[in-house]
Amino acid sequence: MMDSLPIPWNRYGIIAELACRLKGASPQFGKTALQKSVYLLQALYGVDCGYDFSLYAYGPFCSDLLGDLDTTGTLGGVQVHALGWGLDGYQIEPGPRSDAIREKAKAFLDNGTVQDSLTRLREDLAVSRPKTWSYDRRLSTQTGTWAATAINPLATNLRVLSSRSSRGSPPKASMLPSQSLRGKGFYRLGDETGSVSVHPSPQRTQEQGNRTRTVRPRVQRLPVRWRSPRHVPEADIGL
Amino acid sequence: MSSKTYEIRDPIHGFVVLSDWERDIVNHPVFQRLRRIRQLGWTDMVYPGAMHTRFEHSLGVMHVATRMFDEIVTRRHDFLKSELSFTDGGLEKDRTLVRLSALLHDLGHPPFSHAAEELMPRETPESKPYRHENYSAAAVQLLMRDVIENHPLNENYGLKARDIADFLNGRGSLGRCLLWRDLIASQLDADRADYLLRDSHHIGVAYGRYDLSRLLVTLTVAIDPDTDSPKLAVEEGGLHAAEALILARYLMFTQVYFQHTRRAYDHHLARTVQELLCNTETNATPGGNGTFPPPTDRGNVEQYLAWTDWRVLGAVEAGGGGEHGGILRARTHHRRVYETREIPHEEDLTFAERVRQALAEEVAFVDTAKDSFYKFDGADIPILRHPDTATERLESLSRLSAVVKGLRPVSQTRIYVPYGRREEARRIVEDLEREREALE
Repeated sequence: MMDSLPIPWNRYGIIAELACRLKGASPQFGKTALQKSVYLLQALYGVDCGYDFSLYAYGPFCSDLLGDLDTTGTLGGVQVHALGWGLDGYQIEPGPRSDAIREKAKAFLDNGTVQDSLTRLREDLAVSRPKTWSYDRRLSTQTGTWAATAINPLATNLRVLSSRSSRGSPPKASMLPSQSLRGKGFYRLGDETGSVSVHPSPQRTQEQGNRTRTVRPRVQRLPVRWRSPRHVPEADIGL
Repeated sequence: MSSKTYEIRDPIHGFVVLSDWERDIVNHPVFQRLRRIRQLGWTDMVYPGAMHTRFEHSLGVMHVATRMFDEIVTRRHDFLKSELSFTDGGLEKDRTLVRLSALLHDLGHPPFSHAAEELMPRETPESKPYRHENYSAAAVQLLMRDVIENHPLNENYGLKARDIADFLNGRGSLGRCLLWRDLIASQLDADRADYLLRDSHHIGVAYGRYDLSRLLVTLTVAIDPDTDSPKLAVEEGGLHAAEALILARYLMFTQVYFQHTRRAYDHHLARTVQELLCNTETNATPGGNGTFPPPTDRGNVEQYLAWTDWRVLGAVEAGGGGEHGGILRARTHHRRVYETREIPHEEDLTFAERVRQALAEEVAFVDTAKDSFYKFDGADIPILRHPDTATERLESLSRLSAVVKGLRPVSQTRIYVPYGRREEARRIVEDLEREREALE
């Protein structure tokens, strides 16, 4: 018989910690960004949060993580707000009990590997974003902003590569895409030595008759036309 | 070819109508097995009426999925043809695929439905356990191919068993047919639409009731601007009917499916079946660590499907199932001595940890009944606002409904002790609670 209750304080703690670390630096830290950043923490940096991700329409997704976010919110570790202003999406911020929840996971969060990984996640994924997107102007006008739209393709590509390799094995740095994705609207990866950074593809110009228009870098999306968002059925309780 | 039809009386929907082809499928032994799989496990220990089976539920899901399909096609016929290039023949084939997939979606349930699902094997130690949907798809492909593919009524459609398996698994190879998959696998699907009404009816509660008729006439299809692909949606006139279904599910879970005695019986049942799977007297080919055989070949699927409620009950009646089989026979289930709130606060969980430590070896098992009653993000139910106008657009139900938006996930932890230790354990918990009150 186990000695303690199966309460996943470490999971609640990492969610609260990410909300603290990415507050301000990332006004767009929402549910999608949470999914991708926890996936990268596990897959790329080896932090064992115990989540099992499936490939979903918008990249790696774990329903348990979504449930734990809700619970962390109920416990006061985070606050989740709908963006408003006619925008879809959510913003995750530290909650009133953030300190207490992170204290519960102190041993896990204070671990050197976890600390280092959280720092690297924040730094490695800092990207320079053009200021021309109206969506960005509403949320962030600074360069160097950590953004869900940048992390999505990286996490998705890793998940796809991982699923193409031996089942369940983590992706290797040498597997990371670079050349093959260039010029296809994907974000490029800076180096392939294990330290990963992403940059938006440069803007291009396109001639249209006697006019020239700027083509913005496109966020990579899985080819979802005619595909259900649930390629791998999630663990809905169907009674 | 014209087809004779057959009606089966159903307590929820009146009559469920079958074609010759569907009757042959229903008569297949793999489908008849569902008569021996109870819908709600051992829930009858709390609600004695809960004796219905997956057999009648499967017929009901086919009936509801068909009504949903027909309503959508009737309402959006021109849109489906002009915007999405469906043809009448294609729609007729899709309707057949939806009916058969709905009918067969639960083929792969283990004995007593969800209670024994924790005994599903994994493909590798790192991978997720198989789910009953995997067994359903395997049974369709490996055991029912002939009755599905070689019926004269299939000559017009050329449906393959693999099409149904792919539909159940949500594989993209089916192309546009997957538009209809939400009818059997979404937050507003025919599965939920049926089981909420059926379970409520049989156990005698009203928690699972909602306005199915209103929901049906407001189902539609629209283009999702995020993915540029068609998606099933609800016209805004059905917003409150959709809300009611979500709330019905919430109430059924909190009042019935998460009921504490029912959860205890799920625990005993899973341990009993595990023991039966390990024991060579009750299982000629015991798998590793008391798990079911994986759905990887015909022999394994046949072995798996040989496990039914009858087989388990027979073995338990004959004295099998070990300690937990004995508990089932004597009805001396473990007793709950402490539980947190449904939506616990941090101090609830901390106190639960204290209780756990204080009870130490007295504890038989700890259960956490957990579910989010509404999935946001990609699974959010799309509501079609201002249909048939220039300002027609999709919005998420969670953005329009304060009730749905406010639904919090339940995560209730309970501590159980053996029947014979319940009085002593309750005294220990009461002492701790008095201590806590004194400190406050």
